[in-house]
Amino acid sequence: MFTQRNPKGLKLAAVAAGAAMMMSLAACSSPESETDSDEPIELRMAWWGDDVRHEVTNAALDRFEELNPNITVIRDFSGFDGYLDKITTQYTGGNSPDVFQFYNEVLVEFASRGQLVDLSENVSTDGWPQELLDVSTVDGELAAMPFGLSTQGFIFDNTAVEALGLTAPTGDYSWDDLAEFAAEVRSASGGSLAGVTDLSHGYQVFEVWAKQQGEDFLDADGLAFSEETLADYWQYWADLRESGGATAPDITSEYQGTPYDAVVAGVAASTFLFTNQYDGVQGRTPNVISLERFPGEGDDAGQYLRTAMNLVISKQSKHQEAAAKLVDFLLNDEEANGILGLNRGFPANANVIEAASAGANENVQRAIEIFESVRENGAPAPVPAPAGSGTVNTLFAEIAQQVQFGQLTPADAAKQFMAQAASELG
Amino acid sequence: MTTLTDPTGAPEASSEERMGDARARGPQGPRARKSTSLRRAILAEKIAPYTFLLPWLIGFFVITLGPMLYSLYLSFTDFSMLAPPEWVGFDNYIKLFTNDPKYLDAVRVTVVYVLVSVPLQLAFALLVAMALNRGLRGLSLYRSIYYLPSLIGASVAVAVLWRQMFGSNGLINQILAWFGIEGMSWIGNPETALGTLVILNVWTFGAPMVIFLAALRQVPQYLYEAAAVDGIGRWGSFRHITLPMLSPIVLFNLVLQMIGAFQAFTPAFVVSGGTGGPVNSTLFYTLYLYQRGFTGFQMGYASAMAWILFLVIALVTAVNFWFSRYWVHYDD
Amino acid sequence: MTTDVKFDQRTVAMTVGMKRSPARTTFKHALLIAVGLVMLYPLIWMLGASFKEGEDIFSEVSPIPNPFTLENYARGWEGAGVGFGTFILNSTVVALLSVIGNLVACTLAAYAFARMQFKGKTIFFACMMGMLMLPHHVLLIPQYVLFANFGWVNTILPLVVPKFLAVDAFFVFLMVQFLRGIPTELDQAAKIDGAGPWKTFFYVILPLLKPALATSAIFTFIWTWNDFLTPMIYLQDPRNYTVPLGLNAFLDVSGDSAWGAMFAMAVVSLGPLFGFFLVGQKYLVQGIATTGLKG
Repeated sequence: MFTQRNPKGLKLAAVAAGAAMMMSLAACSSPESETDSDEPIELRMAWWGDDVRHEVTNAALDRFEELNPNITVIRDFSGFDGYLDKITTQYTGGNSPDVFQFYNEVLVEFASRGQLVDLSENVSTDGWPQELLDVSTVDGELAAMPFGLSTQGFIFDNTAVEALGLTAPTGDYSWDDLAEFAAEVRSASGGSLAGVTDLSHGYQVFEVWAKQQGEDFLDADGLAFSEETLADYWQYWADLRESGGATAPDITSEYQGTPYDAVVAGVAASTFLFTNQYDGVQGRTPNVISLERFPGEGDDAGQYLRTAMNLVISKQSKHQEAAAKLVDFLLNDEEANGILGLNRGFPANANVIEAASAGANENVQRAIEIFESVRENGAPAPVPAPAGSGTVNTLFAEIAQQVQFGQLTPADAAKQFMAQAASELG
Repeated sequence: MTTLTDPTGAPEASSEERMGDARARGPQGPRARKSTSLRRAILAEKIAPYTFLLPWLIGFFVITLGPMLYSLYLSFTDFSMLAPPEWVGFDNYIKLFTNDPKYLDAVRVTVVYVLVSVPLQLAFALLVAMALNRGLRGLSLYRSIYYLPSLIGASVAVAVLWRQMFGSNGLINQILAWFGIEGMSWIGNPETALGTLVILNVWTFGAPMVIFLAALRQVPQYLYEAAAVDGIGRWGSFRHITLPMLSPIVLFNLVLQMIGAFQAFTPAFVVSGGTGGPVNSTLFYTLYLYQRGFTGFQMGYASAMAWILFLVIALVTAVNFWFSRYWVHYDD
Repeated sequence: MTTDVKFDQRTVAMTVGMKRSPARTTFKHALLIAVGLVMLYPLIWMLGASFKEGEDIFSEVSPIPNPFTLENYARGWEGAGVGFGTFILNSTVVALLSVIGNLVACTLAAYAFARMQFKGKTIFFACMMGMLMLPHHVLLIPQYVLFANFGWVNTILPLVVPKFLAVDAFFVFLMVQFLRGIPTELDQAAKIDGAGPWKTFFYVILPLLKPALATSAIFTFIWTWNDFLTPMIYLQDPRNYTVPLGLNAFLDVSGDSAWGAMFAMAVVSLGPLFGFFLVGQKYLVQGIATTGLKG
């Protein structure tokens, strides 16, 4: 006969079992990686991208498997949404991929908690500029290696601009030049076309502005710029909104994450993007879009060779040597880079650049031009952003939006941001 | 009669069953064989509920309760997911209410969303269900058309589609332009952005509509016939027959849509690009929870938020059930 | 409360005094169609976009493709080397298994809650409702650890097995409410005829639950099909991916996104969903005809 005891007993047992299993969560330490002999090894590699990237990456991995018959690579590819959640969740289950693609903003979160392998031990860095290696060194360890470089650029819708009887800036031009151009576009089009999308909420744009003042956005200690620089930046955009050069705030927020879509949609005549994105954006509109350098004249241009994404090895990997082989292949092997091309951006290793650039179409050639010119006189890349920077980036956009909608003045907003950001990072 | 203590309203053991118990315990003897089989039958009947419930019991105790309790534990910790959790006591809860203005924004946005979109959606669903229930020609076709949006409701494509509708270049503004009205960017303006999400919720009214339809089908026709004989008109039969007969399902849809609306995530995530913008006007509670937990690597804080939400939803649901005694009519 | 007179809808309509002039009907149809078109516009736009060239999708506002192209469908079907057909197959398997699991487990549980007496019923019912109320994002990590310990990662087991354990409290609650609409006289009549709880369940109650079962089947299929986050974290091999993951694999915010291909495949994947809905809604219709309230 069922008595009252049983259901409760079941309850207790289940809770105890659950708790015991939960304790294992804390033990994230990995076993020592065995010496990888010729035994069959299975690696798992994860990356994000669109279907073209999946194709070239799979092809490169096929080649790797040919060259290393005892290693099979399971390909875990996906789009960008949910990628970070997936990796983080898999880490908690002790189940992270051996090798995976990763982006800068979260690098320190993982590296500072000891979840990434020091790559300098097993991956060749011959042909790599030291400063690019410094960029992904955390606590003295090479936590990641850039898997594709890009740089900041600016696009102009030449077709629309010329239809108004104007010419878009080219070569070196200043922020003032841009402001003038933008206001002209707005008035010449009778108010229907904005000259530039409002970029006051883009911390990636502000970063270059700060560098042009000799400062930086974030460094290992936190905020690396002065309140004045920030206030000036937000004032610049406030002025531009007033003159009509910049998009109205509701339009800006409609295209917040992807300002180049505003150009594609014919709502604005110019905006910021990364050179990697140029080919794709041009492909989305029949108008002629020109790629130019970022505003800001002269040698202190502020742009730098930016890591578009990194390749990392998880500390939980049971085959760290084999994983390092794979990383080495993808980053340093000429044939591999010939297959991968410039899909992820420029390779960091100078030795493979030629192989990767073969067969680039004219859009990509243009991106290469801009890239090379920045390589020549660009600024040094910043160190990895500290832990907690994700929240700071979100805060930046939020406060900037309040300025856009007139809820705060630039000066007050800058003050508020400095205080709140410091407390988030502190 | 519904009572708070037994919301399932299952019938009480009848007096015959209770007498059967006594009989089973009766004296041995010539009746022994009969009483053993009777006993077995009664035993079977006592165990039967648990066998029916067995899958649910396993599901609850093995894969739900443990994780639930663990997440409760996490709410008292600082947990980055990449390192073991560190106990912080009530710090998370205190910070939420005293030092997190964004949290209060999220609460406000969510409450407004629940109070506005749920009644709208249900009213619309009921309206359409009734319209479709009347033996109209092409009923299946209409039903399918109105359900179609719900098929795609929670996907990435929706964000793009919504911009095509409510963006500065979208359909709504084009239609307004025919009337000479200049539209604005409905999804870009903090005053109207939440409204577009309310409309999105109403747009995906397919689920409650289908449930209402199924329930309408269960209303015995003879009641309408009797009403007709008594000379009661359409509005009367709606008020006195349809609504009361439908009330258990109205309660169901109300409770569940409210629970769903409190937890709404995907619409805000895809339409605002995960930002809850502009200016936090679409920052749903669970979206902020997600930001803190996954983007901010503060899963302990996020767990605290989750449990507060749990309590609020439980409270609201209990209130719903308590009030239901005044307007819900059960046949048993 | 017995009747065996069946009135068809039209008779009832006329008796209850609803005048059906042709004008009124036409107006009704026109209204329904107009509202329907507005409802469908986003989907119409998406259909159009799937046939547009890449450079026209976002730059041309009209939903009519000009020029018309099928290349999105070709590219989309390739599914990044895995083949979109595989994604659809995977989704179908997961969704169908989930439907079976839910129908079996949730109906059984609901019957226990609605029709039976047992110790702890109130508490368990509260627990069941409680399962609905906790945001699933926080259960994500603990459950992942649990299933990882079972060794179920990279299989569809974490997606499907919970359905067989009545974890979808939504459907348990739905069935309970539908059950409450079925008069208990039927149960008692069955009992007098000597039927135990199982027989009553199978022969008396279950046939009457058809609309609720159909509803549950439809919703389970569609919601499982559209579920993104759970498959995302458990499925690691793209050959096991379900449709939402497949669609997602076309989109990369940082680079170029294959929007056309994604829209094309989104349209294609609506096919099975819509098909299932059409089949399922036939059973929704069988309401009163099978209520069988015979004396």
